[in-house]
This record gives sequence, structure tokens and C-alpha cells, in this order.
Amino acid sequence: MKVSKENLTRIEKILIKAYGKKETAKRREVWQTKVMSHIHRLGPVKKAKQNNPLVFDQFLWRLAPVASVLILILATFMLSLDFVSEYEMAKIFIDDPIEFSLFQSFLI
Amino acid sequence: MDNDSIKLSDFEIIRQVIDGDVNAFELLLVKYKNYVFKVVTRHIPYNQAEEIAHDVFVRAYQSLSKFKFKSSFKKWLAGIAIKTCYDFWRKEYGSKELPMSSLTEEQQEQVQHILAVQSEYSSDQKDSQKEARELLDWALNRLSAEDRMVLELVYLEGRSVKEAAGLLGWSIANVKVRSFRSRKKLRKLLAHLMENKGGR
Repeated sequence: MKVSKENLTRIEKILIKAYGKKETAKRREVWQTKVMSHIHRLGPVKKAKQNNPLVFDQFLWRLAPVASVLILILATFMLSLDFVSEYEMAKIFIDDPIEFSLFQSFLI
Repeated sequence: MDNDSIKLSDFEIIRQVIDGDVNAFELLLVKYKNYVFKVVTRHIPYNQAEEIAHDVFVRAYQSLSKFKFKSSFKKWLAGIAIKTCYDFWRKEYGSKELPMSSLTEEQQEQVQHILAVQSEYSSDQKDSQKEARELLDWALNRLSAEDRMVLELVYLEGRSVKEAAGLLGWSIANVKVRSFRSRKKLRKLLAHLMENKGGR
């Protein structure tokens, strides 16, 4: 026999109502004492680990725009100095740096 | 425990506990024990409630250093309570779904009786409520721990998907899909039960 949608919805509503009427369980007097003695056995909460991530979380995003601006300035500066730095590096290793730079460019 | 200390805010108490005052945790225990029992009793059998509520407070104490002072402690504690209940069911039947074939004649009789009694006012209604609860427990026991928790939170308690996702620590999409599927499974179980009875 096929079950009607109406009957199914009705039984569902009854079950939801029954679920909502479930009473809260009673606890014994000793329950609280038992929990606290368990907590005492565990000892104090370790706080060393929790402070660092908290501070890190707070300041990470505040520093992000400053870091981005710094990166941009440094990148522009490095680009403008690019040829000079290459020249300086070559100067350290060989006698004729201009020849070295040209030689490198042709090879690449 | 004096009355003045109970007036301290949750954040102040948590700070005290984190600073090493273990006894201060009892203030939170006194303040929220009824609430935790209420949450736990909805999801767990009566005889397990004390043990699970005990676990909830121990877990809360152990994770107290991870508590971010952005949300309320009550909300955070509810999340721990729900996750502890979920772990209970996972342990209880290892996420295995039971076959629908194991329907007993008693349950089939129950469905018919519940429908008959609820249709009009009768002195039998209190018994019928108990029967309805037993039937619901029977059906929930045939779902996986995941389906059970989602169904209870979204469908039976009427919480929003977002709220349920927050309590379970799952994504909203996961809760949406699960709640839809679990409801479908519940309806299938009930339909199967009623069909069997009707077909006799």
C-alpha cells in the first residue's frame, strides 16, 4: 500500500512535537563535585600557547598594508638599480666588468 | 561559592581560570550546568546525560585557552556540547547505517496508534507522545551519526543551517546537503514502516 504524503507529513509533525517535549535529565548532587575534582586533577590551564596566536592574529592584518607599501617601494628601488648591481657584482669577480656584462647578455 | 563571584562576567572568570585559578571554573560550571544538560538531553539518552555533560565541561576547560573573546561563552560551550554528543553517537554505532528491514511489528503498530490518537483529543495522548518519542528514537538510530545530528539540529529543533554549521564546525554547504538527505531518509523509513503495516 502506498503511503499518502499527507499521512507522512502528519506523522512527521507528531515526531517533531514529541522531540520538543523531551524533558531535561536529572543530575545527582555529586555530579558537580565529580566534574570539579576531574578539573583539579588536570591542573591549571596552559596559557603560553594561547597568547601568541592571539597577538599574531590581531596585528597580522594591521601590518599587511604597511608591508605591501614597503615591498612596492623596495621593488621599484631594486628595478631602478638593477644594472648597477649587476655591474657591481661583475666587478668583484672579473677585471673588465663591461665586457663581462655584454658577454653574459649574448649568451643568454 | 559566594553570590558576588557569580556576578562576574564570563570573560572575567575565563581570564581568572587562564591565569591559573582552577576554582574559578566552578563559577562557569554553576552558571551553565542547566543549559548544558538541556542541550545534551535533547541528543543523548537520559542515562548517558550526566557522563556527556561531564565530558563537555572537561573539554571546555581543556580548550579554554583557545577561546576567542569575540563570541559569547554560552555559544562556544553549546558548540562543544553538540560536538561531544556527535562524538558519542559516532562511538556508539561507528557511523554505520542499520538496514531498514529490521522493522518490528511493535513499531508498525505504534505508527498506526500514534496517527489514530493524535487525530483527536484523547486521554491517551500522553502515552502517544511517549510512543512517538520511541518511534523517533528508533528511526534516528537507523541513521548515521552525521545524519542524526544534522536532522536533530535543523529539522527537529528548527535551527538555521548557518547556526547548525557553526555548532558542528562544518561548512554550510555540507549541512545543507546532509539535512536534505537525512530528512529524505527519515521520510523513507517512516513510509516503509507505514507501507508494511498497510500491506498486511
